[in-house]
Amino acid sequence: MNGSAHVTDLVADYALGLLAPGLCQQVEAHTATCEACRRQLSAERRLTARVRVALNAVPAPARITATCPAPERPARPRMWATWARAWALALLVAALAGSGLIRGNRGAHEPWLPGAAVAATATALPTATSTPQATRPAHIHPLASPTPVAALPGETLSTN
Amino acid sequence: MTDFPFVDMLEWPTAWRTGTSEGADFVSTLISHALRGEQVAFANLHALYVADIYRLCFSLLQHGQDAEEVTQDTFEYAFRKLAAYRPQKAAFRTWLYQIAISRCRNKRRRKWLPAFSLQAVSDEAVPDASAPDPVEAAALSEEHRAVIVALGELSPKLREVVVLRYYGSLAYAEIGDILGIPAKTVESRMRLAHRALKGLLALSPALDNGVPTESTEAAA
Repeated sequence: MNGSAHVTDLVADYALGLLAPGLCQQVEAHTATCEACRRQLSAERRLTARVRVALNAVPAPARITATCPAPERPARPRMWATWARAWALALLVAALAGSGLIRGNRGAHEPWLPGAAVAATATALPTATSTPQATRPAHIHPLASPTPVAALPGETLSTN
Repeated sequence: MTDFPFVDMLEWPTAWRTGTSEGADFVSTLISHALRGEQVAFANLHALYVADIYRLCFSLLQHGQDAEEVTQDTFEYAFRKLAAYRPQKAAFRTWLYQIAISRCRNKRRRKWLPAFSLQAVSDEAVPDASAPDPVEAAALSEEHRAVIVALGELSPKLREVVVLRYYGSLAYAEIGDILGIPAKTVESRMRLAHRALKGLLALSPALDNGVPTESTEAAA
């Protein structure tokens, strides 16, 4: 045992590599001369070495080294697909224009658009109160128009 | 396009695992070839790290079959996301560790889902799913098994730190990056884990118990 104070509390941290350089020097200087602290340091190091060796000794089964997951090729932008989509869209627009389903200046006298075209233009249509009844098929009711309520015999309907 | 040749294990640069520039160059060459879709480069990367990742997973999960599944998942994901790997952020091995640890956590979480033993509804003997595989248990020596069992006694958080430090030989800051916690937290977990392991392995003959105590010092 030497004259300096024991470094018992620091030895484990030193073995774990947790000490600042200044404290490392203190531990090294002390353990160079103190047998008890040197033994403690040796025990700490044996423990860390023991865990390290055991973890490295775990055998990897041969079957995992024998099979490699099939790598996927990195996805590349497929230019032909983009062009094909663009051409298909252009052809569709041209076909619709040719068949007369799409017209530039639709007037109030033109027939009601069928199917999907109705949904697409629904927001652009005039409100129900101003829409002439003649331009709308009989089975489609205007959204804001209340269903007329027939007065029961002997009942007077309020106008408010 | 020329394929990267499969490099025999004996011909790997000896420094590849130590993180020196020679090893890093070898790995980055493999990665660039793999990114071009060369299967042999993938095979090289797999051969280089598969045992490493398996041991990490086994140490964390303590179960051979689970470790195999997670190892396979790790490589599948890593190869799929290889283009997202940034060498300036972390070494390739560290990146793989990060993926593997995340998958180990998921595996453990799934195992914690409520379940009941089939023994309760069946008269036949049902094997214990959590028990270690006898083959893998036999492959470890008594001494190594004692350490692995002691590791299993630690909480998962402490175990992760111990395995990354002792097995991965990573710096505390690097462990913090992988686990997403400050380096100081890693250090305090390491202290706790070391103390716990000391207690768990104290009775084992491989550990020297010649640590000086106040009484022995007073006697001296």
